[in-house]
Amino acid sequence: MIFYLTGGLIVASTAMAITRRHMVHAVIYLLFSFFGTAILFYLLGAPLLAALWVIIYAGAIMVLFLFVVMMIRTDATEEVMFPLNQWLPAAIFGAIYMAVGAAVVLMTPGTEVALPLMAGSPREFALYVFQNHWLSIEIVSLLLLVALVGAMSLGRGKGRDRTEDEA
Amino acid sequence: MKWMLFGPETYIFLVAFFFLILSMWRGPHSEKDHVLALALSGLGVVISLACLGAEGLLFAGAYRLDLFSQVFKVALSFGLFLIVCLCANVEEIKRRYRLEFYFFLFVCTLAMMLLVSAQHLLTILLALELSSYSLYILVTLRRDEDMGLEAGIKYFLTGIFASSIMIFGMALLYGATGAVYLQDLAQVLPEVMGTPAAVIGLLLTFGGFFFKLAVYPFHFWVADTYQGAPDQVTAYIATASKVAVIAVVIKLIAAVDQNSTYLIHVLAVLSIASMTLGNLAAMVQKDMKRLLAYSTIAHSGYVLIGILSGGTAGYASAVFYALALLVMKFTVFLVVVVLSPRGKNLEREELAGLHGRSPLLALALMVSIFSLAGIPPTIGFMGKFYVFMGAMDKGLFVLVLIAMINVVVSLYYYLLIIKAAYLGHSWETPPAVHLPQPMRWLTGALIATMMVAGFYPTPLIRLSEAVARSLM
Amino acid sequence: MEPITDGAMLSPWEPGVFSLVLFGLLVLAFIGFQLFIAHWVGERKESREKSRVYESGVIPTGTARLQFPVPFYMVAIFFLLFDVEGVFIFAWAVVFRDLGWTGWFQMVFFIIVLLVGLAYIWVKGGLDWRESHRPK
Repeated sequence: MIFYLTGGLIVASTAMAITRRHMVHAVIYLLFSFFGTAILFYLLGAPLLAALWVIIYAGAIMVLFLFVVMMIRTDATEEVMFPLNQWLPAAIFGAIYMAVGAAVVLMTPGTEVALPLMAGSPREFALYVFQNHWLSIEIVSLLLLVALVGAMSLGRGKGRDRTEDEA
Repeated sequence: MKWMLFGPETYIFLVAFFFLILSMWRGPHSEKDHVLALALSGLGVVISLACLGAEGLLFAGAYRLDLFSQVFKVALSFGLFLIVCLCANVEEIKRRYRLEFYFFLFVCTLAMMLLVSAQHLLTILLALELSSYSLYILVTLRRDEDMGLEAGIKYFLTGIFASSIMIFGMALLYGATGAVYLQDLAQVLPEVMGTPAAVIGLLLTFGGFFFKLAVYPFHFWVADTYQGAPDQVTAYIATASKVAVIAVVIKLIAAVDQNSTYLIHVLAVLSIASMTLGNLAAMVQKDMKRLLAYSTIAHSGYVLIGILSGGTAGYASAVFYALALLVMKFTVFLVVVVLSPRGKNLEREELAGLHGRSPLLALALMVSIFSLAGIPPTIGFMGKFYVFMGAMDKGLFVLVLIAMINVVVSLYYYLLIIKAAYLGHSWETPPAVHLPQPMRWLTGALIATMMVAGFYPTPLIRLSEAVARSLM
Repeated sequence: MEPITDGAMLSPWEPGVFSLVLFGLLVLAFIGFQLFIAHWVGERKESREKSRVYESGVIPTGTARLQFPVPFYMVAIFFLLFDVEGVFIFAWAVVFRDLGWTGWFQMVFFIIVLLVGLAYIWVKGGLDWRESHRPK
């Protein structure tokens, strides 16, 4: 029951997030959606993931979003809805997607039985990850490194570049 | 010792690290850095050649070394080496980031090497992300910031969209089959092939790779990114990264394709669409890089024909085509890089009078363009011939017919390029192009490769067949 | 979150955090109670001084919607990246003993890669709030 309730909450808050004209409000709704997702993970028996989800998404990524929102001038927030011809295709694709999703859920054997009953304690989870996927972990470290260097080279001021290049 | 199997990857990783640390140590010295990178990437080719025979499973089965992966690793390190050759004069890259530029190039190559060997969906995903992130940043390093940033952001936004689609697809696939290793997937998938979850999961998963390969519905980024990226980076995306993605798609299709006509139909439609669209759109392009971008889309279509024909012959033809693409695309880009005016893109009209300015470059351009167009006796002709033969064997006559029509259409714009280079007259006579001696050798070697492989492709075909067999 | 009874829908894993949930509920109830009391007992008077934005006693100037400078954003990105690193270290620390030396080396590699990244942004001046010294 809580599962469906949370699922509904997530969908609703995400919907609110993408329809808000005001970006800060959108971010707040997104926050709700993240917390809901964390609860889902918890219910599915992955407490570690739930905790990490809150730490990373609700913590770090939200801060990032807020800064981005603050960085962009938010004067022109009170826009009207997009013109019809812009969101109509999106709406049609959304409808198709709903149909396909329903088909996926309804026609795949195994969905009507209960979820596989399992739970991963933090220990089991970590053991599994580190024993079977440590190559992936090292790739992740490289990925983070690339992101660091990339953020560094992108985020540095434009003005300084110009002067240095000409020098 | 198992670590020896991991040789090329370790080596490239160390080199990338070396450049990063170097960038902290001192500022860039264009020439010194270039020689260094050249030597190190050359050594990389040697090391991957030395590891050609490596076989085995590493990392709890998530990583598989066989002839397939090793040959592609050699091709990738060779591609890296060629691209580094082009970087003698990286005017286009912001001066401060020249060392980081090498760092990203090497990391990207490393990621692609990981990609061709990865067997686990998660590892594939992460390696693909690593390579794309390096590419996103490489694209933005252009000195003309607005252009680079625009291209980078377009690439990034479409790229993450494709990645998220792919992740969703993988999740569905996992939900439907419960398998994450490719070899398990191959066993489980036929049973659930009829169910929507598996089908959609598969399609969405492939969507991510088709994005990288620039196949029809996922091709939006190509032209803008090619246009906005620094020339060397464009060359890298067009050659090495395409080779890696073709390898992964071949591997995935070989794993999941249990003679399912359904998948073949989808691939055929995509192939036809991207060939036609690529060739038609390329006709009206003035900018050389945009033109090459659309021709890339068309070539992805040809490769798909090889892949969807399936079987050893089909995969072998796709492998052959990938290797051929590496050489011929690179040669075109070599000409483009050498000729492009500082800070701007090369226009087709600017090729005018190339024959007078540098006969060698004009010859290289002609051979590589003929090769791309598929005119004998070049490697490109053999590649197309081989692909079409494979498809004919499978009875895909209509597909081959459409591809043939496309080849004829593509001749139009390819010949326009050659016409510009040989017959065109420019108003003022630009100075003769000065080509350093090593570059001359390189150009000559590339021309020779394309011609020799066109006349005598047997060893390469044998190699591709062996590669394809190791996959089955 | 109460222990879940209809196990068909949810995992049978009993969340062993009942005390935490109870504690949280108590805290919420206490806060609610305080707010309610303050609302009920306190008197209300509107004044300009009161409705002003509270900025630790400083009289606010301008709107809060100013354009944040880029360094905020950079710091947020760096924080995010090292946060993710921390996640992996945390997961590793939980099973530190079970993994033994292999795990230790895996983690050392992981951390070294990111340490180099840290050194990189440090040297390049990514951690400087202002451009205090010229980057190399």
